[in-house]
Amino acid sequence: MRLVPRSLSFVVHLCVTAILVAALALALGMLFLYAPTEATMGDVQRILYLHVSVAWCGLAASVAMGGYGLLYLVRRQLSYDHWAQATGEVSWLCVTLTLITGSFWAHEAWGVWWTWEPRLMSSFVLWLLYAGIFLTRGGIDDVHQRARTGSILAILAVVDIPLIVMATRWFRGVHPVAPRMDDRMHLTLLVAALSFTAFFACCIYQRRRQLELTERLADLSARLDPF
Amino acid sequence: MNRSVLAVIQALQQFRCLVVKDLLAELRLRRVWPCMLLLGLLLVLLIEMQIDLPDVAKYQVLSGFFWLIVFFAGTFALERSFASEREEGCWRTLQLYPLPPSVLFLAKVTVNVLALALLECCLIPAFVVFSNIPLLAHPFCLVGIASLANLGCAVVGVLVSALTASVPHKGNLLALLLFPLITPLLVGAAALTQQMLLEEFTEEWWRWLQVLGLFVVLFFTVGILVFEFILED
Repeated sequence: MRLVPRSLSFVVHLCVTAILVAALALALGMLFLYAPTEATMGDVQRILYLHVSVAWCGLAASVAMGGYGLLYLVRRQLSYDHWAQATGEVSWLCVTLTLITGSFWAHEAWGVWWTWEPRLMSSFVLWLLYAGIFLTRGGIDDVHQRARTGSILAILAVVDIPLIVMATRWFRGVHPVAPRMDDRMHLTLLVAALSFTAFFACCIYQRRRQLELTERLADLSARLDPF
Repeated sequence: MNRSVLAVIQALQQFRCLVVKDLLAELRLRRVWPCMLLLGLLLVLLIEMQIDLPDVAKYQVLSGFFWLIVFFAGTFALERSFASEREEGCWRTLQLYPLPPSVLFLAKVTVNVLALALLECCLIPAFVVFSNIPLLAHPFCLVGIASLANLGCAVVGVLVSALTASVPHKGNLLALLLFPLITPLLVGAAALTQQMLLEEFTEEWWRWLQVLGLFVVLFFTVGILVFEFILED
């Protein structure tokens, strides 16, 4: 009975993995071979395709984390907390990658690894905040208390996001908001953003599945050995 | 009398009782505020000892340090807001009392705003005397900045304090969560103070003021909405 869904699931996973690998390969191929070299910065500008893609994924995952946190508070189902934790972890990873790629880009564009710019500052604040949320969650044993605390903190973190998005527009910092780009650059950016979104969505799904299985295993262990 | 008017009057009475309870407890026992004030003064002294700069550079550096000291010393009061309730067995009574969570939230925010205001009343003269910076040259501007900064810090601080008070082995989680959240507030208050010292009331000054206002409005609204969930045990 179990073999059919298992094998089906295996085929589905194989197909999804193959599609993701192909999409990422296409994005990287376009990034290095199809997109034209930028006139002033040269090849270093290609970091932008990665930077914008991971920044977008980080921002979307943060909003999703807040959304799942809110859903947990309303419905009190642990599955929403698993989604919130998975999206939060992936968001933290994406913000880390955004800061690293942004730092490389800044070094070539502005001659410094870091500059006092509201959007950079806000991204780093978000990174620190996620680190704090994970540490807080790690200190709580009761699953529902952990979920509740994590959900509220996720909502507070999401409140920080409008400040990040609006910061450059308020202060006209040195961060480029929407630079003029060639059509091929636009297409490469779009493909990279879509590929990375699909990849990180898959990461979120797998992590959520892992969390759910861990929870189920802990539940079974508790039933087998209640003392 | 209209039922909603009665509910408002009752909420105001509950609010007054809670604020008076916290203030009386602090006045009688003097457990948190003296420590907070001493820590603030100590930090002012230690920082002043290190800084010997020309006026403009000093304004830039000290305006940031001033707010950092206020918020850092203020964590003493914020941390004890809910920890003392739990340690002294008051928490269960508060939960049994038919009290809207928003009233408790507002009362705690008010007490912490008062604590931060008291701290600033001690630190501002100390800063003026020790470092000779004209913090009181524009008193209304300073009161405006301090009101928004205190309110923002108290709102976020009360939320985080209530959350971390129920976490076992919490360590310094309050500071770890509070400071990333209030970074825009800290930077905004520092920028406003710096421009006030330099007497540059440009468009940028108003923008930073808007950031502080938006910060307070956003977190105050979220605080009112989520505080009910924080109080669950």
